[in-house]
Amino acid sequence: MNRSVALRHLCWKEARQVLPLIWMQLFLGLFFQFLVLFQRFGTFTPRLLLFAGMPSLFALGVGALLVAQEREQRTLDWLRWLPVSAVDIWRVKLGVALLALAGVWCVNLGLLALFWLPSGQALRSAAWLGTGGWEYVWPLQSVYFLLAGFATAWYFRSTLIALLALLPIAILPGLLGSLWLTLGQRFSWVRPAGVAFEPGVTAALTVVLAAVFLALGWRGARKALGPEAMPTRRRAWQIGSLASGDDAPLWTQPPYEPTSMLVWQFVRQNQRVLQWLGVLLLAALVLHHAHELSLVLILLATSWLGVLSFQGDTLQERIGFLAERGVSPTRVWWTRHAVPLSLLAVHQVLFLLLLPKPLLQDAGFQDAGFAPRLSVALVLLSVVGLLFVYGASQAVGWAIRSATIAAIVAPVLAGGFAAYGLLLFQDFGTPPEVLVLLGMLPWLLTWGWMRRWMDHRLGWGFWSPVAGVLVLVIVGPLLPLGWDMARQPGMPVELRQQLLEEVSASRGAIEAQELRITYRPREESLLQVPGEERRTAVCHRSELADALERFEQALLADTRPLRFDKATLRILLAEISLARMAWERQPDSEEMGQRYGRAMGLLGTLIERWRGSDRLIDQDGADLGEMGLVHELSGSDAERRLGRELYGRLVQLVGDQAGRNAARRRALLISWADYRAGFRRGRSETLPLGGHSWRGQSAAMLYAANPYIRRRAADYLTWRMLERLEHPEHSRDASRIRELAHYWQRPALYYGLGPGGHYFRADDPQQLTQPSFALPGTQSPRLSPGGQWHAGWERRGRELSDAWGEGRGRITRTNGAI
Amino acid sequence: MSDVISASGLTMRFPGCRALDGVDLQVPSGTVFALLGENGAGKTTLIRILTGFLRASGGTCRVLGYDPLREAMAIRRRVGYVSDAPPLYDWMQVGEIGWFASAFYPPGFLERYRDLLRRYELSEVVKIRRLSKGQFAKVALALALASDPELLILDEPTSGLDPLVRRAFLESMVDRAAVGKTVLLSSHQITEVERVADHVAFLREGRFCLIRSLSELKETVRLVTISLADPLTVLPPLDGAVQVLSQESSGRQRRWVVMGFPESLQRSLAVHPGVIGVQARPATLDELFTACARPRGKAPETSSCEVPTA
Amino acid sequence: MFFSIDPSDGVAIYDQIVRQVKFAIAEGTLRPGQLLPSVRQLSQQLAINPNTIARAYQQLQSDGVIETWRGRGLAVCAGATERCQELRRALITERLRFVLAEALHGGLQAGEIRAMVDRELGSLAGRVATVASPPQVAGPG
Repeated sequence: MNRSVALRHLCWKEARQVLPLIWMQLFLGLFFQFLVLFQRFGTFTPRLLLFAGMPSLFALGVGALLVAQEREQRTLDWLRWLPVSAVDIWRVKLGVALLALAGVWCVNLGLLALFWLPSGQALRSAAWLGTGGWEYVWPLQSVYFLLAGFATAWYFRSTLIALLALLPIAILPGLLGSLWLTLGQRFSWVRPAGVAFEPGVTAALTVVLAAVFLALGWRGARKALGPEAMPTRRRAWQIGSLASGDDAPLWTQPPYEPTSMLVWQFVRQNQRVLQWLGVLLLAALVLHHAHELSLVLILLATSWLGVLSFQGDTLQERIGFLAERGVSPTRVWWTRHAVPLSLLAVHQVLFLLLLPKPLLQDAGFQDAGFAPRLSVALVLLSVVGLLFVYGASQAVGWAIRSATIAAIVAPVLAGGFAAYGLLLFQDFGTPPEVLVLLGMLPWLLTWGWMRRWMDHRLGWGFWSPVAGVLVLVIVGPLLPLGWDMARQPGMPVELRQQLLEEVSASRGAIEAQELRITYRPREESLLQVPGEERRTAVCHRSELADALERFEQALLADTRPLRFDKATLRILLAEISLARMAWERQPDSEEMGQRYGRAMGLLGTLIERWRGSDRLIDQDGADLGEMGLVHELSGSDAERRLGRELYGRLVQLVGDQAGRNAARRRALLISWADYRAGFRRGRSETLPLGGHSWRGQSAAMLYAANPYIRRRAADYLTWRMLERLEHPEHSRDASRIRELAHYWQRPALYYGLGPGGHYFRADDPQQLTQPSFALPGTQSPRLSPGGQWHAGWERRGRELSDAWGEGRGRITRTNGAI
Repeated sequence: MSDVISASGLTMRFPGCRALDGVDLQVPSGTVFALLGENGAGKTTLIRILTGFLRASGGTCRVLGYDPLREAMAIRRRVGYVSDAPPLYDWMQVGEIGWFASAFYPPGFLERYRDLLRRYELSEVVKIRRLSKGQFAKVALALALASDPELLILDEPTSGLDPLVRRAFLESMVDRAAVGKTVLLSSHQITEVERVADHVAFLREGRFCLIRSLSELKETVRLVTISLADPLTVLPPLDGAVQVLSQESSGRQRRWVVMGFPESLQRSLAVHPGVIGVQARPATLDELFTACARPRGKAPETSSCEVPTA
Repeated sequence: MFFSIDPSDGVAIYDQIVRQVKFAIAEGTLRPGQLLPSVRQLSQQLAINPNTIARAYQQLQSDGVIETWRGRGLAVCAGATERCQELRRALITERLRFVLAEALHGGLQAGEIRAMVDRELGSLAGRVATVASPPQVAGPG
């Protein structure tokens, strides 16, 4: 026997056995990369974690695969028979595993480089990694996982139990390290989750523990590969079981009825694993202070319970026993799930019952008034989440034969799909019902094809539903989205041509400028208004007057069009109101009159400048200004107050419907043309349309990948806005309003469509001169593009202008209602 | 001619039962040695001790002169072992597993293995998990024979296999014996054992109740049927030279399985008062097996006349 | 030639082989000078322990029925045919004796037995196939 040949052949065999695990981690890694592409994270961290995580995952599983699985399938017995020494077997298994680990690291680092180079982000920008040195700990830890995995696999008979036992061992260096540091600090007992880890300490501990487990593994291997020795003394628990032999053995009692019998079989068969998983759940309960750890343990336990439900019977095709006896598949199905689900339910009840308050408080819900409602939501969320994870895992355990691979793939895949579901919900607005439906698919899969699985008829008819469910779950929710996007309507081609020509003809060479009233309140003039969070600035009259003076001079000096500034408008309108109120108190004051007139004149000029701008947002700002103006001009003695000349000028301004519409149209078209031009320059991602934020700026991958769709959407939106401008009756059409609201991502309320589809318009200029420009109860106000077109104030303005044109100076103040 | 296997005083205690109770065994070289016994008698335990898979609670044994516990490697190189349902790697192909195993044996393994595959008409590219039961057993046998072992141990290899596969096993067994190698066979197929065995050992409840060469057994063991006029007749006690292995009675007949039944005894019994007739014929191995397993047979007299189990 | 071995017959296996070889020689299936298969070959063919085969061959040799030819193996002796036919007669006589003893033991009278024998002979005459090669009719005994 040539020893080198023998070793070579052994290496070949081990390599062949390790291959599935390598493929698995590759597949998982790529799958997660695919998911991560959907989200755009600020840092590179998630990708980095994935690439560092996959080799560790591999290291955790390789011991179970190479050793525990061989023991379970008894092929180790045959291998023992060959004239190979135990040392050689041990060495080759370990050696091949380490080599494979190195290979997996290389592959992952290569993929990392591939993904990193194009994005050009610095590796070290991942703040999570902290100080230097951690990048060396990761590979060391993966080697430790490998050695620990081997040790547990040699000691425990079942693959699942070996993996379970590996969990606490895997976090041992971290725990010991934090313990060490905590003891070292001595003066503050920090919570384990909050202790900062040091790479050096962890590395040292990892090396020590790795050596320990290497030795333990060798001992276990020698014992397992050598002759079996029967214990001469009975162990404690065996004495107990023998003593209880006084009771009549189980088989002399009357049999249970079928369902209970199946449940009994499940429990007895998977006793050990259930016990260990129970310990895991208990640990999660006990460690509830460390939220992340507790959550991870619960998810892991749930996932493995899911895997256990079907894997317990996959070994040695034990399910064949039930299949041959014609047991109904449905009954088998739900008896497999009965025990794990009840275990989970009990744990959930304990968890939520014992710890609602601290949990909620730590999660940030300070308001006790919210707590009752939220705890119901929390319960529902946790139940749904756990069922989802469990469902995905049980499908994995059902489809995959190898226990090791199922045990590793299931939690990762379930977590991945949960993340995917969250992504769909947040970014793509997929309705939750669709997500729940998709979450039910794995349950339906295992239930529907149970008979096939029991009869072990694995062929086309088995794998096509599995593939189908997988495709449905991944692609399904994207399909309606894709369909919508593909159906994205655009602008008719001839119209586009025509409009583009119009734009090139009418575009001015002058760009709009920024100019605003700069008024900074002094620190001590900020007043805490009781009952409100914010601090209001106390207006110092002289400072404001100075600011206005400066502003007026700047405004008159430069005749270029201006960009809209909300604060400026707000200050100006406030000034106008104050001036009017002051003048009403002192009607004969010349000074007040001048002040009022000057402010109004300023507003008028400002509106004209805003109207001259190319951007849509400036037009909407000008609308707001004109609304304020109309409000003022509708006053009973506006003409008298302002003087004929000023009044006439202003009234003509607000009455000039045609000019206003022309300005709007021009601004709309130029904004649109600019957007298209921006595309060609390649900055398609975050362009606002005419200064407004809109749907096309969504950061989701699907929009980012498809500038074509975005451009079509912009075309379509512009067309609709144009139609709205040209046809006043559209401003009452509910469906059109909704469409616009969808594209501009504003509430339909801003366009006048109220709850229940009732049309009402915030046409009251009063409301829109409030400081917040917002409807009561809402938070951040945003201008609604084209929201004030054809509103009541335009009609009012026209009336004023007509009245002025007819020479009548007396117009009663109306309410501004439509 | 040295003994290939020699064991003395082997004892094996499992928690709650005693599988082997002081077993002595000598297997001469160049013979086919058959181990017979009921299921649970301890045959597999004995074989696992001899092959070094199990550590005996007491006693010693040597295989080919080596100690199975300490010099296991030397034994495994020279001994071929086929167990009942051998655990082969089911993902390997038939050719692959032979190639894999050939690395551990001296050169020549692979050619012999291929020859055997050809002889058994097995395809080399089929995966082992796709093989039928018979083909699987043939692969296991081929693996064991390809190393040209001095000792071939077969533990119920043909249970549940069709006659053709069993024939293949028999042929290989006799072939081994014909070239002077030793075979240790543990089987329930009595007809097979009758054909090929040189020596037979019968294990009952952890002990050997019988170790003889087959020819001797065939010559000396007789099935004696005595017909009586009166069921309650008491027969004279037998001579010490005659070993009664089992006795049964049914109605007016008594049946004994006896080792060593001279003509004189037959004649004297025939003329005993109350005896109608005595018939003796050589016992088959099957009957011998049953006799060793159930020395008392069914209970001698019962009020209800039970039909004896055939 | 083909053998029919019944391991659970009362007759030992080697004895069965011996008898069948002798019968075959007597029949003429095995002619003098014809080679017999080697021990190894025959044990393979019959799936019988080679020691048993060896013992049978030894017995045949000591009976003078077969002999060793150097370099060629075992072959049938010249003049074995007659010896085997003698043997066959002896065997059949023994079987006849056994049947007669059983008949007498069962209580049949000698005259009755003779009548039975004649009757059976008569019914069988001309209906039993005789051995092919030697031309002489194989009579009873």
